[in-house]
This record gives sequence, structure tokens and C-alpha cells, in this order.
Amino acid sequence: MTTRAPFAAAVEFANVLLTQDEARIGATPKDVVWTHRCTTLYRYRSDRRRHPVPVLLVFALINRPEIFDLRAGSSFVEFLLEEGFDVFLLDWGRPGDEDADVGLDDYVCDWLPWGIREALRAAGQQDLTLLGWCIGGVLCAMHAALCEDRRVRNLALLTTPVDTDGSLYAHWVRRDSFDVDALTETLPAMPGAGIDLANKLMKPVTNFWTTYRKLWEDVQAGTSRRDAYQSMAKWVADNPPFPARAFREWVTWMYQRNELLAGRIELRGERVDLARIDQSLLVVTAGDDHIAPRAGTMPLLDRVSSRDLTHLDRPGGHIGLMAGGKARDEIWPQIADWLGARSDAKEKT
Amino acid sequence: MPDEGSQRVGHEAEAHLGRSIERVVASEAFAELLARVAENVFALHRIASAALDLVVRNLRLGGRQDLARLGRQVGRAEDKLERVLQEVETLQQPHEPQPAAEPQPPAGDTLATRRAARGGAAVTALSVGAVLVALHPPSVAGLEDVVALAAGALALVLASAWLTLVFACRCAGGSK
Repeated sequence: MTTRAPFAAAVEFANVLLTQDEARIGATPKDVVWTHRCTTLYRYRSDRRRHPVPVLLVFALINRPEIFDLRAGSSFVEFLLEEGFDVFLLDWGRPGDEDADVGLDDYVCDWLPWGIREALRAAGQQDLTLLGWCIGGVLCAMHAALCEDRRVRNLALLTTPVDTDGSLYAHWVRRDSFDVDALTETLPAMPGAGIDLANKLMKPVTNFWTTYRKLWEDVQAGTSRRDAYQSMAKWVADNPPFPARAFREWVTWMYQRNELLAGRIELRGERVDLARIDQSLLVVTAGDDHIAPRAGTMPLLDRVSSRDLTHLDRPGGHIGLMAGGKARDEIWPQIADWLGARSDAKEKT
Repeated sequence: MPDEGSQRVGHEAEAHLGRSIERVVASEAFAELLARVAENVFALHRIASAALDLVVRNLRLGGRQDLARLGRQVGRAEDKLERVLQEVETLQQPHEPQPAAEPQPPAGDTLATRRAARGGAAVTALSVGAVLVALHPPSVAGLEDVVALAAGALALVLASAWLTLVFACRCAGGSK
């Protein structure tokens, strides 16, 4: 194996780190269909649409939805388009100080259903597939659990936390000394960098050392994939703020009181009852997920009333499962198969 | 570059260290420390923001809070506008032609047909009632007669209205 001289490797290593912001992510061509406040609904361009039922992608309130479309050759969106799906993306945008009073009810009761309406209007269809990832999955599940929305034919939830008992987040915030009310009264929007730091503290050595050590070794060995590293690093570093009220509700309801599973969350006077979820349901869990551990997602399967229920559990991390090197050959085709079988124009599963 | 043996030892040490530190961050003490540090950082931020805000306000300049307040008002206005747009769309829907696949007539047509039928029934009932009263003027000598007459007239009016409605609806359905 040929290795680079230490000085040349150091220059290359520094260059990869310093120019990571120049990586191009989320580059698949798309059109803006609808905007409301900071929310934007995109539709990806395609001339290969075969499945009439569109897919609406919903990502978390932390980090950006570009993870669905990381880079050419490693883009879930690109893959779905190749498989003939009509793909929409609901981007929550970058909330500012003026969005301090935005709560989870705004996302679940207004912006998500409005996005669904606009996606259906643009696609000229009656129903669609909601595909949520992480907090996006929780928002989709809450919407389906709040009202029997017949416009949602299929529901796909990827690494979605439902039961937070025993999670590290819950351990950190379920204590009197963590006063989420005081924090959210101080700042109108929780800084994304702070939330990112907390996420990284869950696995400090991996996040603050191993990532760079591996990059250094790859650079030295001449095997580093600059585009792969930079696109992921750029995505990880891009952390939009979390609106204060939504953050307070998220922490209190999900992690301090674990209310979603207990069915005690009420949005605008209506109880979020997971038993109302009766759509065809796909739940994807990752074996090494420390953010939404499999054990925290499994109880969902017992709560819903869906008769068509599929659970895929694969090795991988919270993000790596869907955006890692093996995703294109492993989990994406399985998701596409599941979607394809339920995206027929006439027959409702 | 270090040889494979030392590299392997290094990776093992790293993995061991990783597991150890993960145990530390999962400890009660670390959670308590994290909560306190977060609270302190936010408190410092609040104090600094309050001081800066005071300076900006005393200089009679628009500060961040003012901009946020304006932004919030714009956001609320946008929310209301979206709801109004949706209401307008909902109101417009009955007047739009329905797709051929749906067999039901548009709601607007149904309403108009029913309204016409009700009108026809009312006119017929009024005419029949007037003719009956002309042919048999009511006697007000006894209360029983008055009650019997009123009940008979009411039954007749209702029967006429019902028949008219049935025929009118059939005609409307046939013409469709």
C-alpha cells in the first residue's frame, strides 16, 4: 500500500476539512411548489414517474432535509426518482427569533396537512405516502394519530423515537436541575449548534476523534473519498435553530413525561392516539441507533391499528442506515419495494 | 505510518476509551453537570442580551427584539392569509365541475333542486288551502270544528307538499 508523506497528507487533510463547506449537497433539481413562513414544499423533477401515489418526505426539526438528497450517487431522492416515484419534500426551513411561539401543533395540525394538500394538488392525486425520518417521523405519526386523514395512504417511519424511557436524552433532561422552561424563556430559538453538541456528546470519542482519525488514515493511505466525507460533514454541521415553544414541548412531552406512547399529548384539544394509525405502515429501525434506539420504536407496533404492518430492522446508525455507503444496496431497495407495492392508482391496500 | 500491530492497539485503545467515556456521559453526575452548565450558559446569554438591548433601546435604534416582533406579526398575518385562502377554496369548490368518475351531482345543483321543490310545494299547498276555505268557510261556532278543520287543513297541506316534492325531485333526476 502506498502512503503519502506526512506533510503532503497533512496539507490534504487540512484541505478536506477547510473546504467542506464547498461540498454540493441537495443538488437534485427540484421546484418550489408552496411556501409558508419558513416551510417550503419542493417537488423533484422527473420524467420517469410510474407510481401515481406521490411520496412526501418529512425530516426532523434539527439538521436539514438535504440528507435525503446528500450527493449524486448517494441520494435517496435520486433513487426514488429512478424507481419511478413522484417525490416531494417538506422543508421546515430555518426558524428565527420571530418563530419563538411556533409549537408542535403548528407543524402537525397546520404545516404538515397544508403541505399534504399542496403536494396532492400538484400531483393531481387523492392520496400519498408520508415518509418521516426521526422527529419528522414523529410529526407524521402524530398527524396520522390525530385525525383519520384519508389522504395519507401509506406511512413510513424511519428511526423514529416513540418510547423514550431508558434513552440517554431522557436521562439528561428528566431532572429538576434541567429547567427547559427557563431555557426556552431565555432564547426564542434553541441554537442548532447547542443541540448538535448535545447529540455529539452521546458518543464523544466517535464524534470528536474517530471521525477525524479515520479521515487522516484514509488521506495518508490515499483512499479518502473527499466528496463522501465533505458532503456528510457539511450536512452534520448545518443545524437550524429549534423554535423555543416546539423545543419545550418536544423535551417535555417526549423525554420528560414520555407522553406520546401513553396517549396523553393533546394538540388543539384533540388527543394524539396512536391507535388511530390505520394506514399501511412501514417502521424502519437501526440496530446501532443511539438517538432513536430500536427498543424505543418497537412499542409503536403494538399501539397502531394498521393491518398492513412491516418492520425492517437493519444494522446501522441513526443516520448511517439511510445515508451510509450500504444504504443504496440494502435498505433503499427494500423501502422502494414496499412503497411500490402500495402505490397503485386503483387498489388501496 | 505506524505498522499494523500498533495501529490495531491504537484502535482497541480508542474503542475502550469510547466505551468508558460513554459510561461517563450516561452517569448521573455528568447529567447534572450538563444541566447546570446549560443553565449557566443561558443565564449568561440572558444577562448579556439584556444589557445590549438596553444600550440599543437607549440609542433609539431598532433592536433584534423589535425585528423579531415585526417578523412574528408578519408570520401571524401569513397564517391568517393561508386560512382565508383555504376558506375561499372551500367555498369555491361546490361551483366547480366534479370529475366524471363521481356519480353524485354537485352539491350546488342538489341544493337548487330542493329549493325549487320546496317552493312548488308551498305554492300548491297555499292554493289548495285557499280553495278549501272558499268552498267550505269555517264555522267558528264551536271550538271542536275549528280544531278539526285546522287538523284537516294541515294534513292536506303536508300531503300536497310531500307529493309535490316527490314529483319535483323525480323530474330533476330525470332531466339529469
